Amino acid sequence: MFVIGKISDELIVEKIKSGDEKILVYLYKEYHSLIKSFILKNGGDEDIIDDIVQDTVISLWRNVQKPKFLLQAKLSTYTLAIAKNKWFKELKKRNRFRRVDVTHTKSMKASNTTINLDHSIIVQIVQEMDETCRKLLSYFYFDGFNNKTIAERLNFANTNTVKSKKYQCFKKLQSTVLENYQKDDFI
Amino acid sequence: MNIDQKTYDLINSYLSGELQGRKLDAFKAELKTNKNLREKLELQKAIIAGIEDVRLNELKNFIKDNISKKQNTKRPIIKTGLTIAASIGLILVVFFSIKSLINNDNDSSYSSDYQDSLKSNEKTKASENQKIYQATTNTPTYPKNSIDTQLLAIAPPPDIELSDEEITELNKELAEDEIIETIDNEIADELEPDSESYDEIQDTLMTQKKSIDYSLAGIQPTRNDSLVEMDQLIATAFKSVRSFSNVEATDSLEIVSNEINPETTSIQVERSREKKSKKFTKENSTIKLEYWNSVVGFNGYKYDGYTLQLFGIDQNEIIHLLSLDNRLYLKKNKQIFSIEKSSSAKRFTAVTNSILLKILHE
Repeated sequence: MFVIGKISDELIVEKIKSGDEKILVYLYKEYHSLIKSFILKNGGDEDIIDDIVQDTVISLWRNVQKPKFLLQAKLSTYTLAIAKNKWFKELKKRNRFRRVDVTHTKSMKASNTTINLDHSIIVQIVQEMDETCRKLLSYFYFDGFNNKTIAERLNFANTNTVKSKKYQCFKKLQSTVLENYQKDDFI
Repeated sequence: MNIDQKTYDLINSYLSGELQGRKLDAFKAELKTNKNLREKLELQKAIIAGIEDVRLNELKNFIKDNISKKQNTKRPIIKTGLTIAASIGLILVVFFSIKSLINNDNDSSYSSDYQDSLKSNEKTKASENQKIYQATTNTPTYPKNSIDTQLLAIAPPPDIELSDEEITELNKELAEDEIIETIDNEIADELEPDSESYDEIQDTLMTQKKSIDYSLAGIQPTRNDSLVEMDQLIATAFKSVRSFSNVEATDSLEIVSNEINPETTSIQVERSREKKSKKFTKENSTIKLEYWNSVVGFNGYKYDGYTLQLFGIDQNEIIHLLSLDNRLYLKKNKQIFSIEKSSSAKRFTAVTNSILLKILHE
């Protein structure tokens, strides 16, 4: 992507919604100095800046894909707000004021179940799965693309194909995950 | 633990927050009572977390790779730019170094530059005294006390050896060239002929003359300190040859001026006097005489049928050229020498035949 000058907020949102991943690089460069300045003024150091900027840009990417997303401020203000949340979260980690985030718990054990799943094993299984399935599930669960966008990106005939294919892929993945655990892990 | 599509979609709707209202309440109530559904929900959440983690790393790597690629592409550009700039600088340095060397070596353009100055002098005679003097003084001459011994070692260089015909033609042209006379006269008027400056001017003019000679002949001139050991042309004159049967021809030419530069062609030949005997029958022809100073002290002549080169004879000496039966004789101080056509120099051979001497002396 060759960018001359700045891209408007509307175009950025449009590119994110269309799933143009190259906009992530532009966003990273565009907001790096802004986020860096904020972090350095708030007790941060150089080492954490790149990670925070990356996480911020990817969070923006994901938020824009949500159906309820509505940009009511400048994108830079919105992005800086995300970065602030990321940095404060990091600060809480450093100050040992941690809260358990259920959705991102690496080793997850459901309170009311006896299932003990190793997150790293699931990650490995996901990485090794069929590429189309991996992309399809990634686009749906992480990026939040709607079925139409997924169909376009993966050259599926229509959204019904996306629905059926998504289920098949997940079922297959689930089976593979279950095969890697002993029956003893399940009651 | 197989999952059907309906349950799969329901769990997805619950996890994404799309499930609302009564459906949400109903699902929560089912979760409390249905252990199998709870396990399916936990498993699906765990798998989705894995999928998200993989995708998150994928996007992070994508950003990182593209940022590092652009940073990497900038470095070669900077390096390439610096390399190009350094190369240009080096080329410029080399170019100007060579250029200065070329400019210092005036050998190639020496004669043509000076010839141009001569031509301009011819056109503007009124104001050229200064220019001529400048041209003379600016000419890179090599004083005797600063002769390049390395060049002397190779003297005379092969490229400055002129053939006899070339020298003859050059001198013909130069003899007719009034520019030289102008230079001689004007420089002579311009400069005080004190001993040192006079010698310097002579050296300079000799150098210039050689340069002009070579340029006229299309020969590349070389540095004049390499010409030191060459034979030098002292003077040129034209002399009539009298056929001699029952006739005595004593037509003579006297060389008058050659005061400043005897080697140049600015030989003002003046027919001072002519003695004509009533006995001669006719004037046959004119022969060009050249007086040469041999560096090895050679006494003799070289005659090609048109030009007679004399070595070891002073130009002020009165000589006579006689012709008898298509043979040429040189008379000097009552001595008569036979002159033969030859491509090489010969020593003077005195005529000893008494009958022949008697005829020629008559």
